[in-house]
Amino acid sequence: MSVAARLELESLAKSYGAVPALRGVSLSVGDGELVAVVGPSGCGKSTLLSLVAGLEAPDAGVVRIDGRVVNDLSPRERDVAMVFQSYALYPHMTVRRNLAFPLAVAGRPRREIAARVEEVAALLGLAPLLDRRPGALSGGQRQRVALGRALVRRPKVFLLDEPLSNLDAALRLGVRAELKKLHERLGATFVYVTHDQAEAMTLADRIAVLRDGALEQLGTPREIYGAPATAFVARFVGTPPVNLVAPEVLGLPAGPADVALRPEDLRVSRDAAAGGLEAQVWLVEPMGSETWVTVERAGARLVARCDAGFEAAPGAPVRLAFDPRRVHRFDRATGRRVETG
Amino acid sequence: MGAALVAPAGAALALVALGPLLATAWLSLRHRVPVLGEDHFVGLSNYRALAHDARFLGALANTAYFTAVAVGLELLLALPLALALHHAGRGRGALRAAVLVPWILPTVVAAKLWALLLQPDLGLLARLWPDGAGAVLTRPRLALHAAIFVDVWKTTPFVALLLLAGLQAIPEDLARAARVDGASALRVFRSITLPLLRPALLLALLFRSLDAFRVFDVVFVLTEGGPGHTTEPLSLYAYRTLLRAGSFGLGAAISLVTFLGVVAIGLAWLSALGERSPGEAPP
Ligand SMILES: Nc1ncnc2c1ncn2[C@@H]1O[C@H](COP(=O)(O)OP(=O)(O)O)[C@@H](O)[C@H]1O
Ligand SMILES: [Mg+2]
Repeated sequence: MSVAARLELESLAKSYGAVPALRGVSLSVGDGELVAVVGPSGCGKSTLLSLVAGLEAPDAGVVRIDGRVVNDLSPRERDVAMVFQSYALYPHMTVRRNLAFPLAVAGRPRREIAARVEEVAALLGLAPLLDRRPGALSGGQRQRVALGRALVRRPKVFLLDEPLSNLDAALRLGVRAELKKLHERLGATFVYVTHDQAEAMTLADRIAVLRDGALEQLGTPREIYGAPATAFVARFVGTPPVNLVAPEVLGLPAGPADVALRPEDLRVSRDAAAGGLEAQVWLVEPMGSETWVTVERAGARLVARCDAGFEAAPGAPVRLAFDPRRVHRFDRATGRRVETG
Repeated sequence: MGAALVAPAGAALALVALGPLLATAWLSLRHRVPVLGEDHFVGLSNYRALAHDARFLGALANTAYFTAVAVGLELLLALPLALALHHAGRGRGALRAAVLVPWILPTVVAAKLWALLLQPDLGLLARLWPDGAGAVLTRPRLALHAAIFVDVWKTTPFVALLLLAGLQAIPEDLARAARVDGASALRVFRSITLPLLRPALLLALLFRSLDAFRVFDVVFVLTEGGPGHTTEPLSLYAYRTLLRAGSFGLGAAISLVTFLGVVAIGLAWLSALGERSPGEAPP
């Protein structure tokens, strides 16, 4: 449906007064690619989208779409569409008029507008809602209208700012899957902003992790998860979070680097004869398909993903085991990954 | 239960509003001139007298004209002012405070200030145009417009602040979304800002036209209704009939007509306010 575009950001910087929101972010998104930008609240994700959309001007750096520098172009000249976190539906217009607005503004012929609105409404299941106003829609329906308003123009680049964050948990997984199918179907270029690492992992071709306005790591979900570039990235992705501790806790020689072990790489055994490190159970959280077990050892807490059948009372002695090759190391001072030979 | 809860407020309203209103209505059906000791029921004859009273019809026309032109100008000027205040980045707070100065002045003080500036012999305008062209207050049409000018000067900031509050209630993302959707600044204003500002505009219209229709102080200080009675509004005529001429029945009738005018204006704007705002105009 859309013609995809290539989006390149070069050393983008933006401050609000004395507050730096972005400090030199470079990123390139291939045509048809979905890049997720993740990071905690306030790290500059929305600012990044504003700069790409042309709603704000960067203090420094270049935005390029299909090789053309668009820094001096207004939003309307950039041919990007955006889904806002708040959805930003026009409350005084019906769904139909909301969907038609970008086309009406572009001066498309009436008949074409009607056809495109119908098409998008059918795609997103909005047909029965066309004559309602946003105020009479549920959260999920509003989200679809916002998406539809972005789709209707068939732009080169889609920008989505935490599109699922206002949906309840049950709805979120369904819409997430639909978004992934939609992206596959459209083959358009997506920049998808979220603070939810699970969304990024499931949707993205590549993930850009932002921290305090700087790019911490850019890579495929597999790279981000399997070889995090910094301790921050390691902690940010994965549920439950990675165990980041001093090496002594895992019985490894002390050194300038902390060690990190994913919860699925830590084995907990109730058999005292199993050997390994001694620890006590601190908390047991059954998740249904598996059980998260938090143990205490040497004053630190470690989480392990165990079988669903794991049962133990708090305080019970257990043994820990792990494959040393699965241990990540991060320099304690810089947080950078330390490769071990 | 609901009725019981509303009852005290209803009773208070009846006491302070309905009571005097009914008393005025009753009075307007009588011929009462206390200094002459006259007091008897005359039915609608006070109203019949007003229908042929050139001074009353002039006052009605003055009031309506004053209201329409002053309120119209205030809104027309306040809207761009509010937009400028809304988009002013730094120093918005200081600017807002500065803008309010004319409104903070008591009306009588503001009117007196302008009365001095416009004074026919020694005022600023009279000195700039000594040939008499500057003597605005001595010329009937000009004098009413001078009163309108002072009202606009004084009240536009207040209207601007009302509209500013309305603008600030519109989520910022809407204009941003419209810009990404390809709308020009003008189109954003026409299709997003203006329709969403409608309730605030109607509210300002309501407040201001109710206020303007009861205009008294500006005109009283600036022209005292003169020259002749050419700038006299209804409330000033009612005041003079009641308290100067001591004709209570006729004064009450004028007051009641003024009141009905206010009610009509209020109902008209309230019903417009209650309507659902229309969808965006077709492209
Ligand atoms: N319009 C603005 N004025 C001032 N500061 C802002 C503005 N927008 C964002 N910021 C600041 O810039 C930083 C990044 O914000 P934002 O891009 O919204 O983060 P995110 O979307 O990742 O939560 C934050 O510190 C935020 O307070
Ligand atoms: Mg944000």
